[in-house]
Amino acid sequence: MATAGETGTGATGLGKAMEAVRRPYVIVFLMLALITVFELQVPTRFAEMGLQKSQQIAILVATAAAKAALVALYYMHLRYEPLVLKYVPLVPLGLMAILVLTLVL
Amino acid sequence: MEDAHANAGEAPIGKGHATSIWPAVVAVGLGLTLGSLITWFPLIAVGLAVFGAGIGGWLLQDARGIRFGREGPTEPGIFRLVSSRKLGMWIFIASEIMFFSAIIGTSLALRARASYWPTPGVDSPLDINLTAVNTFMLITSSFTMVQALKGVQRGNLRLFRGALLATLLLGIAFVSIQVFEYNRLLFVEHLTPWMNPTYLPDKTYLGTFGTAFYMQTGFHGAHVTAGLFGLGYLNVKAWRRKDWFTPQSHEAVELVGLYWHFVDIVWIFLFPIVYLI
Repeated sequence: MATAGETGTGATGLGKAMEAVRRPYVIVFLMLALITVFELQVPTRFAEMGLQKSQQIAILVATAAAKAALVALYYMHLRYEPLVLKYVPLVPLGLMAILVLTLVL
Repeated sequence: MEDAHANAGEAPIGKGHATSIWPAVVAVGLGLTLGSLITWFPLIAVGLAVFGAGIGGWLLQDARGIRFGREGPTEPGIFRLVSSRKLGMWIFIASEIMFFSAIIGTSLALRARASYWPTPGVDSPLDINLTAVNTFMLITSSFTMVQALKGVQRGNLRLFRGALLATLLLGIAFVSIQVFEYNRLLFVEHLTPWMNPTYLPDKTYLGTFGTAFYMQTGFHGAHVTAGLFGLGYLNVKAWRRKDWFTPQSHEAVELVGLYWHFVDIVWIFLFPIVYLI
């Protein structure tokens, strides 16, 4: 039985509602490892198969975003946090997109 | 007693916040240190001294068992469901996202304007296989960190201590491999942090490749090293006494964990950008 503390919500009262939630830490770890193995094939095996540079970049950006989302949602518990806290890291991400586009384009 | 009140949800909103002066001293020390880099360099000694005093005072206060505020929701308004310390860590992480965005964005801009950039696996001096090992270690350290949190939340002291120690050791291994790689790149490959007019083996023009590489991986490595100090302190407390962290009071473990996972996320982006693309 999970404790209130385990839910990461402390004394918020949300703890009881989260007690039944099983956190897939091992599955997330295996997914991270598998995606990393896949990433390693992109500049080597996939490139030898004729994958264009732009396609390699698109694939690697997508896999990195997927891995980051897994860590943020499950290991940093954003999935279980109140909605307002989920917006805190999203604000600089929007600024980051503007900055990177401004610098590169 | 204070925690009991907090966990019972009886604390009045806005009460029970930290009263320590040391975080402010740390901030002033960091400000002086960074300010010295763009104003008067000898000022860095004063900055580092103030920073060290701040960290020392903070740790001493913590070691005496003085609680900083309380765990649980204390913020009024829209953040009332969030612990004030957790909110502080997330705002810090938000500022760090902007910090790394500037560094990665600048590096991408340098790359976009470069006439030549090495291709991974073809003519790049970077070792993909060695860094892949490092990547797996950092991912594994995130897993062990979350296991440590699970252990303390469930009162499983063995899991908590073992996973926390494993996280620290994996972090040390990551930094050690990075130092090894830096040594090889600097003294064998002659890849420097400044402009590389020539790349010795084949005279290929590398330009700002080294600048971008060392700037991105160096700042990340510095953040990992800072995280190791946090993990080291948690380990000391966890292994010295059984009751420092309990299922009812362990927010420090969660907050250091948040920082550690963030450092992992930065590497998740840096690895393909620096080594694979």
